[in-house]
Amino acid sequence: MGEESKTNKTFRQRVYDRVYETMTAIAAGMSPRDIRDMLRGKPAGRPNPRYRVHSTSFWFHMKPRWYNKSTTRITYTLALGWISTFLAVVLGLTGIILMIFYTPSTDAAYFDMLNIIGGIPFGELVRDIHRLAAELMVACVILHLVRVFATGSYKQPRSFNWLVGMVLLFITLIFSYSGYLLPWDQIAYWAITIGTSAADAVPVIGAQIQMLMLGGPEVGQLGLLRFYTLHVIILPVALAVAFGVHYYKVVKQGISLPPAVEAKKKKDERVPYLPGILVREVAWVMLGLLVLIIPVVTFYNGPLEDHADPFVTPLHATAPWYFLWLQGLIKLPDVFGGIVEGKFVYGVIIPGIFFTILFALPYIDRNPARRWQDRKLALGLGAAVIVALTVLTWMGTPAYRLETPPAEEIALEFVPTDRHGEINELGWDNLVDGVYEISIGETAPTEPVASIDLDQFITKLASAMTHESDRLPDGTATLTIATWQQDLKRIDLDIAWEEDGMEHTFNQYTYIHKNTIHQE
Amino acid sequence: MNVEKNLLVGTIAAVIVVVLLVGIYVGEEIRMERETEDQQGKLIARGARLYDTYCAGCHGERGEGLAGIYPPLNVEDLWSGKEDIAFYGTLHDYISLNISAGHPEQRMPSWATGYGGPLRGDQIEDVTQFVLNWMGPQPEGVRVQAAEAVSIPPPDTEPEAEGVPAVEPGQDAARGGQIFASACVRCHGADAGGTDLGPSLVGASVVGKGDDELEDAIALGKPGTSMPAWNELVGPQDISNIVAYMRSLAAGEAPVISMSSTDPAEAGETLFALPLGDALIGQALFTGADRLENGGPSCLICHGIASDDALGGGTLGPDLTLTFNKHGELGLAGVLADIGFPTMAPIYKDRPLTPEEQAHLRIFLQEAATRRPTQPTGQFGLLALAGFLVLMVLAQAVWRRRLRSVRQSLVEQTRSKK
Repeated sequence: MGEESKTNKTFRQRVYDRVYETMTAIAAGMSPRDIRDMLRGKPAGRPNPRYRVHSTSFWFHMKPRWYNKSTTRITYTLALGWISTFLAVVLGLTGIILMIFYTPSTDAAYFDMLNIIGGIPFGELVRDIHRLAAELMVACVILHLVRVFATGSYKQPRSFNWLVGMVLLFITLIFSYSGYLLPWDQIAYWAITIGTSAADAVPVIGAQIQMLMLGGPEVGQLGLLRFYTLHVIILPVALAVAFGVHYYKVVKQGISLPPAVEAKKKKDERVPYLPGILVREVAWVMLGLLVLIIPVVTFYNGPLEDHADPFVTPLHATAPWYFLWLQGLIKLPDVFGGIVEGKFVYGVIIPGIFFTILFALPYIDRNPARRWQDRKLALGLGAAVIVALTVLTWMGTPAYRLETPPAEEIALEFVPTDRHGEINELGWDNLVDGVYEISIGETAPTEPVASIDLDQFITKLASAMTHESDRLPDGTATLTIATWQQDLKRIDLDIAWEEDGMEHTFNQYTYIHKNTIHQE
Repeated sequence: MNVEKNLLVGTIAAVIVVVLLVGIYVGEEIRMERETEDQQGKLIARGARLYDTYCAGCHGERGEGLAGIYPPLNVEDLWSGKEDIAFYGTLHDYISLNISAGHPEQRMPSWATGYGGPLRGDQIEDVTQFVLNWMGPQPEGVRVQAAEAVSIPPPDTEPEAEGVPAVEPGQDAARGGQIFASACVRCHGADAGGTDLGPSLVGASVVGKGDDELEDAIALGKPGTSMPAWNELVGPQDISNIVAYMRSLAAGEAPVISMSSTDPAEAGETLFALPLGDALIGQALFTGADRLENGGPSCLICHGIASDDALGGGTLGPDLTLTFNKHGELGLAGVLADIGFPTMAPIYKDRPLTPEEQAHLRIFLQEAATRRPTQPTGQFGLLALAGFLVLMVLAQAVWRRRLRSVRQSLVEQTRSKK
């Protein structure tokens, strides 16, 4: 009996030792006791096992052992670089999942998108997260650049890292832009068509560049495959390399101290990476996932329009939001009297100069001071550029100087053929068959209709007509809803007006199926 | 760093994420089902639009068809009468295949891009779903009766007995022309110059044949082609009138009666006195450097051509370098005046080429036929090579001192030690 319990004890001891060793090995040299002490806030022993981890573990060796306390304040860096990295990882993982269900072919791509949304569990979630994270990442990278400019962190000795950061910005933009084409829907097709046609403005080699990008004079199968290859192979590798250099420099040089702290030339307090910052980063990862998932389950839907069609140009096709300023620039009046082409100056020369200055900023701005009061010129110019870009972005939207005939504009808003419009918000039960006459100045339909929502729709249409009464003199609109097939209705909008003594009419119609999802 | 607070925040966030994921998982099946229904509904709605553009012309706006010529599609059972054929697939496949590949015996052209038509695979599916939706019970007012087939003007002469000798002084070419404009132009083109659906009627194939042969061809149709038998709809006297009209057309005497132009003199003029054009302007129009006046897309988008500054060109349509040799001057003029190729017809129907544009393009195509079709690959190779060399030279200039620095610091170290 006594001997047996003795062997049991040694066996338990042996198992315990084995587990302890294994856990220590997994934790890269930190024993479970060390970890427990660390999380309970006890001071580290000597030699400091929390520093040793950084040399024994591959993953930890990439992180610095400690940070300067003033740089860990969230209000200083806003963690924009960290967030960009987090989003890049999320994009990589969701991208791999999407890649499994996607074929880069003009015949299959759109149906693969439909299948991802409707046929694969969690498919819509993954796609929406990928899409949302992509938009956020572009925004974060741009804001990161603004932050680094504002705090003067691009100055010596970090001027090289600014350059690498600019490369990363470009990679991010091309990443997002190339991903734009892959769903092969109308927005994708026309955004890329508009964007790549800008290359046409480059003299001598413009046509060749465009040809190289698209594999033909138009966006097609070859173009899709090229953008896909860019998106899933070339850019990820380029991003990994450039990010490696960028982050290596950050670790090596440390995050730049806030200008005020730096000016005091006082030694900053050190904050070890373990455990505080590690725990904070893990918490941020969880929060980040939450921030991505909550919009997706509540209101955010990755846009997907009709199948790409080279023969149907949608009204108001625009570039992605981060290129709208370029579109706004091209809309500026041609004031060069035919000596040079306006499109060339606005689309190539000005952006070229802008990006060259941005790239070479640390080498142009030789002022070593980092405090705001010593950088009034640089900050003023920076603010001016931000204001200019904002105005240009607004000018790039269809709201600015786009001459669409008013009847078409109203039809697009109320009975669009290829996108979501007012009519889609009615819902099947509110589409009551009938012919509804609407005249300018009327607030209520001439005859009461069967549904309150349809009533409101007609009132809205009437007020839109009234709003345009300058351009649609004596305008009348006729809305015809007819049952066309089982579960299918045809909605006709006929707009008539008188101009220069002539009767003008415009007709647009659309079909709505009972099963179409509508938002109320 | 407040470790405990962060641990708490992280844990709460992780729990919420897991709860959300479980919630999504629970509702996922219903969402997917709803989403699939939505996609199906949108398919049918899109199909309805395509039907309006491509099918309604023959099968009727509401699918009622044209009695005796084009079958109605707005029917309870689309299988009716088709059971005897050896088709083992589903009804969906049957309809989809009919739309894609066409049905020559029944005058149905092929619509899928794979068969030379204008519709992509997804569009074929849209139209198929729309047509299938006509089956089964329908709400009131959906079923529509078929309309009259071909508008034949009321006879002003008594119809004569069958077996009347072909050429007769009583033949009325003008009346034949009216019927021709209503029935024949659909396939043979407004100027009888032929389209993808039917051959030209002004060439040697008509001139060399006897009236009997031609009348038989009209009356009995050509089995195996899209030419139907017209004897049920058109009387023998009218068939003979049509032949008379064709004769005058082939001789170049008759004015061309087209659907668009009602002034015969004008229509005849544009066909036979071909206006002159400028090859350079034609080239600009072809490549898209100048926009087409009525907004049609430029040719280069779909067609390749050998020319001085057109780089290759699209591959959707055939290369047009040698097209002049194929069609000849008159044929090309006809094609440009009334673009009838199924892929192109819907695009250019509302955006026709102006007479000047037609002339410029025709002369340009005539000139292009003296060249050989080219491939742009070589140009790209040269461009890439030149770019590579420039980059190498640039790199050499920028990093001239790249090798020196490492060694220099070592040399300096040794020197300072000494």
